[in-house]
Amino acid sequence: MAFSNDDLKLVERFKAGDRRALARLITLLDNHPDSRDLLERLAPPAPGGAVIGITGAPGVGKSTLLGGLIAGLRRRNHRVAVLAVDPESPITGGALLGDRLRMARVAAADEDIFIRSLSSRGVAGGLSASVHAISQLLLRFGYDRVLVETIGVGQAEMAVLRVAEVVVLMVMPGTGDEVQWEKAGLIEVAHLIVINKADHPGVERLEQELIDALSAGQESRVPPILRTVASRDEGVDAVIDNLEEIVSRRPGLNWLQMRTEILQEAEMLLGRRLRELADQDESLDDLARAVALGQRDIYGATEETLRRLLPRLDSQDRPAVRSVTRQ
Amino acid sequence: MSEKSDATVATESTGRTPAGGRIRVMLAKVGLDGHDRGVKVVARVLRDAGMEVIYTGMWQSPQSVVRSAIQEDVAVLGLSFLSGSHTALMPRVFEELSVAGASGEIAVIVGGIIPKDDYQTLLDMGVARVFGPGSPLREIVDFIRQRAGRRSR
Repeated sequence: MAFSNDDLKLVERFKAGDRRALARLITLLDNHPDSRDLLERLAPPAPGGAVIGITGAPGVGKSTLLGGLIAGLRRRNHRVAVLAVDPESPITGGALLGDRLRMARVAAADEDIFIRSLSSRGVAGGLSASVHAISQLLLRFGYDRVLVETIGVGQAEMAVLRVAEVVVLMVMPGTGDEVQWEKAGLIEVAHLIVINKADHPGVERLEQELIDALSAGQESRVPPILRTVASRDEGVDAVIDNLEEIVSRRPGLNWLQMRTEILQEAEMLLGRRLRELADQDESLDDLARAVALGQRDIYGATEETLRRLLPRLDSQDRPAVRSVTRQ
Repeated sequence: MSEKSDATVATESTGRTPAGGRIRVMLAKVGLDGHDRGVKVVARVLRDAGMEVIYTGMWQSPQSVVRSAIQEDVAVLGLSFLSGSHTALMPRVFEELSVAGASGEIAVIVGGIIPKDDYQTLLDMGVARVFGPGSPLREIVDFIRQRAGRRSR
């Protein structure tokens, strides 16, 4: 995308370590998928950084554990960013983002902690791509542990987990929702399973159920299963030890997978540009009317539309770039 | 119809900014104030108006509220006081905004139990608007929409 001068000023401020500029660029990435090539203007992140997804049902204690993880990672001299993803209302599009509330233990004075709340704007908005781009931005700012928190239900949330290199699934005893995780495929993507509220009855049974569900195929697929009481900070250090271990031995990126992802991103952006063009295209309205009246068929009309719009996809006279920048 | 007027209409009827994003608002309670029913009602109303509302909870410090508001890139910061400490704490909020170099970038509004006599004092400090008891919720929504619209232009 062509960036405005104000956007480029934000990039300069970002490079100089200005957190306000970081916050504004996150907004830009969140609102405009075609702004993601902004990342190319920034130096690649230092090696060793990692994006870690934390997921689990509402009430399982994700934000509370996150509070402990943030503090523990800071003690190990990591710079920590958190992306807390909450669902938006399907009716109004509004969202109540309350995760900061439960991470309150985190020291406000510490500039090496950055917390940002995002609302999942449905699958169509490309949440996973947006979260991926924002994570990459945070890594480039120098936050070397980016924690992404999501409730892990629904397609949008599952997609978010694909942007994380390491996924932690949180469960708790007594909820009886083993089947839910299996249905969602969550236990299969998890690199680490944390049984929180381990002071509640039923921990042994839950642990056994998890092992049974996971080892149905082969034994080797069972990830570490840890117990915590996050509200008392019990077991949190062990979670960090395990996370750091997993991060240190993760495989490098696979070029074939990158090829797939480049194509997915291109497909999404092409679709958006096509719709932008179509919005200003009156002949499409005429064609649609002709199809509705039975004068034309839908396939011929599609072919004609593609032939007309495709040459214009690349033109630079697209509607002006929308900037988040003031003035 | 020109593009600009479309954008204005859209802002008036939804929680979107003219730039196409959602309006982001942070609501917080600063200091030793243990009552948050009112601010939670406002949070819910703003959410239903299509905005993204970040609620930080009670017992926040001026510093933590300002840092959070910057990280969340909100257009408007709403502070609720039922403790009578608004005249003592608001100068510290503005001081933190100034230290962070964010003065004037985030509109600050105040709500709660604010004596009429204190309205002007708060406005003189830089508060954009005071919403006391009985403020129509619609007015709060409209005010935030208008401020958020100004910000993104």
